[in-house]
Amino acid sequence: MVERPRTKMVRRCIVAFGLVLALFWSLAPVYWVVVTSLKTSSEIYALPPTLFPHHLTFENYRVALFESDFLRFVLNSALVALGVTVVSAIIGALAAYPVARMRFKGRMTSARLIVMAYLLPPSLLFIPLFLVLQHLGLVDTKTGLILAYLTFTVPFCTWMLIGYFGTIPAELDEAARIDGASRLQTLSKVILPIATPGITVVGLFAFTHAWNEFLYALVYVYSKDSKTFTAGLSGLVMGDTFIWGQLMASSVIAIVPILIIYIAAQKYIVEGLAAGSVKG
Amino acid sequence: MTNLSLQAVKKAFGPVEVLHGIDLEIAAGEFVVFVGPSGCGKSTMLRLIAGLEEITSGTLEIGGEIANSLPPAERGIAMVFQSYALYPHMTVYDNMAFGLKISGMAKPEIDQRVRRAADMLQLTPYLDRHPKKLSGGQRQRVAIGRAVTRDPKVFLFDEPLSNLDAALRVATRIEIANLKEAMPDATMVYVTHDQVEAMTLADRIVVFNDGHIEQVGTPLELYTQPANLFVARFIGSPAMNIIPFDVLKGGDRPALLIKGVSETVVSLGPDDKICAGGTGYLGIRPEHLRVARDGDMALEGAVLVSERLGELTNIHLDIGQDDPLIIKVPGMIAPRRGEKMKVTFDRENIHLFEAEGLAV
Ligand SMILES: Nc1ncnc2c1ncn2[C@@H]1O[C@H](COP(=O)(O)OP(=O)(O)OP(=O)(O)O)[C@@H](O)[C@H]1O
Ligand SMILES: [Mg+2]
Repeated sequence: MVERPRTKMVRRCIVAFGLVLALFWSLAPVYWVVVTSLKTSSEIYALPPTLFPHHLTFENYRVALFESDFLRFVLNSALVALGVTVVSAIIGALAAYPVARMRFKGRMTSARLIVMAYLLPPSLLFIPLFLVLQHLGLVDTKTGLILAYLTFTVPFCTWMLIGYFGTIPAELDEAARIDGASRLQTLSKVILPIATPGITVVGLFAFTHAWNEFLYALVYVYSKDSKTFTAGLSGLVMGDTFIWGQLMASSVIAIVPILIIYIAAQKYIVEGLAAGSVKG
Repeated sequence: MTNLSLQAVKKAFGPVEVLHGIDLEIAAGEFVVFVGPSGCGKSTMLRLIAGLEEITSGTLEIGGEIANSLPPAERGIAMVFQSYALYPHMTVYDNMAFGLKISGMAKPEIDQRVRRAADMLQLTPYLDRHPKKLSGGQRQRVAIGRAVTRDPKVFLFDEPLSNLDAALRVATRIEIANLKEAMPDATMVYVTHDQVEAMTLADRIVVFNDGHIEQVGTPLELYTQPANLFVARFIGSPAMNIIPFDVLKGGDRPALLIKGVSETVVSLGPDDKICAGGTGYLGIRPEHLRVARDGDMALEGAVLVSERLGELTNIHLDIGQDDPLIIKVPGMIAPRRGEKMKVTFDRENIHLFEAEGLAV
């Protein structure tokens, strides 16, 4: 697009201003978490609050890492989130492929039911789900928690993958069929490799959801062996006493893994979100 | 050597029938081209043969055996898609080897077949590349190569050249002609929009229209003896001029009278079938019209447009009919708009159609 130099200047200023505003809006709380985690507790309560820590201390981190169960909770979270991710991606792909590609009675109905399943609010489900887990003897287990998260992530992943598979030309399936591939071979050797960006995004979503989830984690598990870090964090709030320093340090520790994963998968996320970029 | 036989083949998508009973025999080793307007069912026909769609009713025989419910891979066919449909995550080599690997063929044999096909299509330097890094023409050759490695009895092409630019299209067309030459036993069915492809490649052309076959014949047959108005209009470029006429019965010989032209144009034999109907259509190809000399029986009109194509010029002449008359003349002649022109033709070059459109 050709524009006058002045128009260009003005446009750039507006864009820059908007970006700065958006960045400030989303990063200010994160900054506050990080800064607070590095302060001594007397400084945390100082009035007026300090923008930079006067006495840099890693004491909060030391306590969070070595003198509490927090690391264990993080590990539990990681196991649960990984389980949810893998199972959601596999079931999601296996369920999405037929809906996206095969013609059968009830195809549209199943697609709609899948949407409805993930539109159900968790707060509505958590009591019935608790009963189910109780009957299965899975209350207070990581498996039970994984199962609970799957009720949300599987429909969501399936729905996203239906859309993603839809962007892959159907002729590829047909070519594979003529080449003698079975449906399962077509899925595993042709569609899935092409859909890697989509699968990554969907898996990342499932991971993030399981990682950040709080309600089920609080209700369904309580022992140290299965508790996830979100519920663990809430354990640092005792009545109306907040152990701020440790709380913030723990939060930072919990952000780190997911941050690393996102940075590593960035390339795929961009590709995956730009669905339709797959060309035959 | 595999022949194809279609008997009363119908195809419906839900309540909509798109093929209305197709009967067609394709001999072993024959190159048959399907042509027809968009949406007439050519691709559907091809996909029925490939086994990508199910036949609603009727029978399809491949090599004398009923193939209605054979899976695509067991039909001994290979298909080349308009969009190439190459597997984007595989190298050229793997694209061509995929079907063979699936069938469990031994590695050395796969390698030999892929290399032979690559050699034949000048793809050897590109075997390690991914399709993304190939030009359109190379991609199409890979798609053809993938078909060749399967060593099929029947090749199916669905508009394989329509995504290529004009020069590449000519080159790849010749490539396909060579392919046919190299594999005289393979039966080939080819769908195209392009007249030149149809005329140059086909042993026989099948003209489809609206889910049925209008005519089957060699390219020359379709050009010289179109069975009806549809085929007459469809084959040839620019299309044949079609002019409605009445039969003038008075006098000693019946004659053919074009509306708006006062004098008798063509005299008919007394037993010409067309006389019974009283009306009909006269067809004359643009290349069979020429500028009239004095004394010739002639159609007269004013020039609307002269399309100069270099080697020749297409003149659109308003002769008082609904459609202008198109005349193909050598490129030197280019009358200006509004200029009056008289054109004439030879009796043996005209096609007569009765009012319903069938050739007489
Ligand atoms: N899967 C389908 N479901 C419903 N209708 C279909 C389907 N495939 C094709 N049709 C219809 O069948 C008719 C024939 O389609 P087909 O693709 O065979 O035409 P075609 O002759 O190949 O046209 P083109 O020259 O544009 O490729 C069209 O009216 C089309 O809408
Ligand atoms: Mg088509």
